[in-house]
Amino acid sequence: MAAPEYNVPQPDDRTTVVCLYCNKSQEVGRKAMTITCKFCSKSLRLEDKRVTQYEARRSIEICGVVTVEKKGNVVADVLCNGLVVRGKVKGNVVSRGPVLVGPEAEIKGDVTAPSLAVGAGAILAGKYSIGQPNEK
Amino acid sequence: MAENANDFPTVLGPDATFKGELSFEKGLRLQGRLEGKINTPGRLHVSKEAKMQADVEAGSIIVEGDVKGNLTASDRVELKQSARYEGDLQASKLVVDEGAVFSGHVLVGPDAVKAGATHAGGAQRPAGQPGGGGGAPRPTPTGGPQPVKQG
Repeated sequence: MAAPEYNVPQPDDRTTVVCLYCNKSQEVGRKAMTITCKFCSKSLRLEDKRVTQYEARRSIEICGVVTVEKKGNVVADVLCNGLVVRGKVKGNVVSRGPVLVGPEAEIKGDVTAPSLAVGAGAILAGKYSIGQPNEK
Repeated sequence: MAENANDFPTVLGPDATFKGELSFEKGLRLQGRLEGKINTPGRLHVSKEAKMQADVEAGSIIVEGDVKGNLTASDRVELKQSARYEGDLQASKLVVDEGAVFSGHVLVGPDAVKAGATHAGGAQRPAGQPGGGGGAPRPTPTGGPQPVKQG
């Protein structure tokens, strides 16, 4: 009797994501856009986000990279795996990846990140915690 | 940027310890230990092996070693890869190399130093007692940016 065929994704189609909330890593399909963390059951959005206009929210929580373009103006707490700011951000930022602040960009709020790059004429105001494991 | 001996005519060597208030015109390279206050229109370079616990007002500050205290630079603050910095920072420009570790309140922008001076009453703490946790009033700079080198 022939063995049953299972449609198991190959390792090439998988990627590892770290949960924003519980810090545990898990393998997911490379094309997945949202998942539920199998450890803490929180919903995770895996795609990157690009902000090109004014956007006010309670929070932006994304397992990808958030990019705030020059005309982007974010008023929200940001929890992400990387942040690129070319416009303005007002709110607290916790990033697991580098935070890049472009020339003439602005961040007003507390920032926690493993590394920070600041461009020419950038405006920063807040409490910064760089290069240390997250306290929160 | 290449540095020569003329940039830092004053050197506090690795076996030196200084406690008190220090002012100089051009530049100081700190390789030993310093505790107190520094006031200069010039440059301060805190070397890798140096340890400093001081409030600093300078033209520009380069940190490679261990620093605790408040830094105010009319031009720029550079935190190099080996820098360990804890305190409040005010500068027109900030350059942070990958690997640098710092925590504290930051006020960076073309008008940050001026704005910081007007808010200094509540925000500045004595050296060795950097801002930890919330609660301190957060000054907000205003005004337009100016072009400088990317860090």
